Amino acid sequence: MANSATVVPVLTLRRRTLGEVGYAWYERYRGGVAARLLLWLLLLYFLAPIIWTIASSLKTRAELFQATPSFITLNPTLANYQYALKRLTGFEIFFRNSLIVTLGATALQTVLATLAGYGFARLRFRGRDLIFYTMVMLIFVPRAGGLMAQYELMSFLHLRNSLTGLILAFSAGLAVPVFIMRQAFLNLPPDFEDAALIDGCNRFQAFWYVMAPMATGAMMVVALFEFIRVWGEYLFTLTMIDQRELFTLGIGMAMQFLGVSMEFGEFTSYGAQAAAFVMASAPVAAFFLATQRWFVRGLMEGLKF
Amino acid sequence: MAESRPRAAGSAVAWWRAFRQVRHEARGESLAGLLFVGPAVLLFLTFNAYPIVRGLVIAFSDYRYLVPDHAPFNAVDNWYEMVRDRVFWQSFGRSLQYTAIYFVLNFVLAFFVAVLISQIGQAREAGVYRVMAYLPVILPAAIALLVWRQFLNPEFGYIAVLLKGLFGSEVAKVLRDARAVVPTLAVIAAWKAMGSNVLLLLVGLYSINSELYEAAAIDGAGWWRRLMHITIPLLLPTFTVIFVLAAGVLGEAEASLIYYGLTDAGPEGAGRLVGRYAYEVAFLQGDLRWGYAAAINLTVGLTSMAISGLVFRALRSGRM
Repeated sequence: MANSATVVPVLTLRRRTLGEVGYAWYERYRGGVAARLLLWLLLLYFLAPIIWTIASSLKTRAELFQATPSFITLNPTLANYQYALKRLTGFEIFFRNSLIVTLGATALQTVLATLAGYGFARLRFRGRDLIFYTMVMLIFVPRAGGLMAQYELMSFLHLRNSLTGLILAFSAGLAVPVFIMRQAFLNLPPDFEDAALIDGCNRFQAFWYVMAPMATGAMMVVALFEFIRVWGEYLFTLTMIDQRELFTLGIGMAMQFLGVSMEFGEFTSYGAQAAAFVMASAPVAAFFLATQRWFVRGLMEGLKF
Repeated sequence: MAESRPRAAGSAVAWWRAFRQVRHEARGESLAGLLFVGPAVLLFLTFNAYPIVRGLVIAFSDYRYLVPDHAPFNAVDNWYEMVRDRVFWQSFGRSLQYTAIYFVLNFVLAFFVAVLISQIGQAREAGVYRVMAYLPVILPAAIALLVWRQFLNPEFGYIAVLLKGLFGSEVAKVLRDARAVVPTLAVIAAWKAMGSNVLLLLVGLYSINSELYEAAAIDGAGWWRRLMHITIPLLLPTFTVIFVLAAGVLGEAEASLIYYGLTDAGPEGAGRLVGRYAYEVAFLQGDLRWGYAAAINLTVGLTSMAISGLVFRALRSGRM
């Protein structure tokens, strides 16, 4: 009880020094300050390389070659971007290839996974569960010679050195997406669909007009995962593509900056590299930021993939 | 809620049940089923299922891609060779070390970040932190590794400058040391993957009933005891998932192939993880020995399955 006499003056003192707005903020975030500081420190590890790259891409030449490099820049410039676009031959081609493959594979996989997920969840036909669980089981089989067998198959089908081949191969990783979509359709109440069927819709209409619109959240999750995966894929593309004009961004950049291929010429400026990294990551970052609300909600609803 | 993630044992049981029942099922809507499911199944069978099965067959042969029509079945000869292959054992050891560092870092940091984010009351603010934690996951692998390569560059990288400034140039030499190679790759890979574990853990954390914490607080349990006796036991299923996913990186090849390029395996070859070794055997060395490379991959895959199986059982029994 002795405490209450001292507590009140301290509070009024705080209110007086912080002002009304400041005090409201203090009330709101009080108690979480230590947790937030710790969290920010940990998040710095996640973000430091990213911030540093973006900052480097905006630095002037003088700032880049300071003896003690600064973490951020005070007078940003776009010169590095112009330089990178001019000197990094093929950047537009790599970028275009990445875009074609990623958009193609994402669209194809999302459509096929949605159709199949609906079929496995809602239709009744012989062998349905057997086919579905065979797909799921194959997730757990080790990929012993998978890459070699794919090389063989793609050569046989004349799909090596072909963007179409990449699209087909990437969108074929359907086990998990079909699992997610089936789960989404199982979680929807069947009543809507039954009503549509009674009112004279056929199966496809019931799917297209009634069920699919209610599963857009899961479709977003599938699309986002595929977009991220394909935009960032490296090893498979490296193995399937030999021609430089068909390289995707990842391969093109790695070849460029590791000096594996001499034909690119020397391209070592630090800031320009950083600018190229930013440009190569921008589409996937934009796609993620645009869809992250669905993504997080989808995860929270229990689609834990 | 229905089970929301495929599990090996569960799906095997479900598969067997479906297999037993298939003869008794009615034809039902076969045509609609074919139209809805057919395209996806066809694509999946061609480009995914077939290579997996074919890859298993390759592992038991002496398939050399550059030798025409040379793919004789050789039973387990590949394993006789593997036992005596020193490069294999060295790279396998590096991969075990890599996986261990990757896992510990990934798990501990992701856990703390997730717990801290889950305690933020403001929904918007928590959303911003979730996005931040997930950003490294979305970066293309090649870009992420090249960024770290700049960051860790022994001459002008930020870390080098920082180490020189703080501890002198002797310590900064660590960045060139062969012993630092595997930990470096593991730190980068953990950095890249951590965000998805943060989200997995958050899904688990958000689904814990807050009344449990209130009841515990009333009974006098402090922050630490609530963590140990409520949070961690209830998150065990999520931990299992993270363990299993981490065991999957044992055969990882990409990080080293990007960081050091195709032709160079790092100082003293220390960047040659077992996945990279298999890739070199299959696509870069001699007459491209696909059979031997597939056998290596199969060994690694079975090892990582065994590890995750053991972890799964251990966590299951510890749960009671």
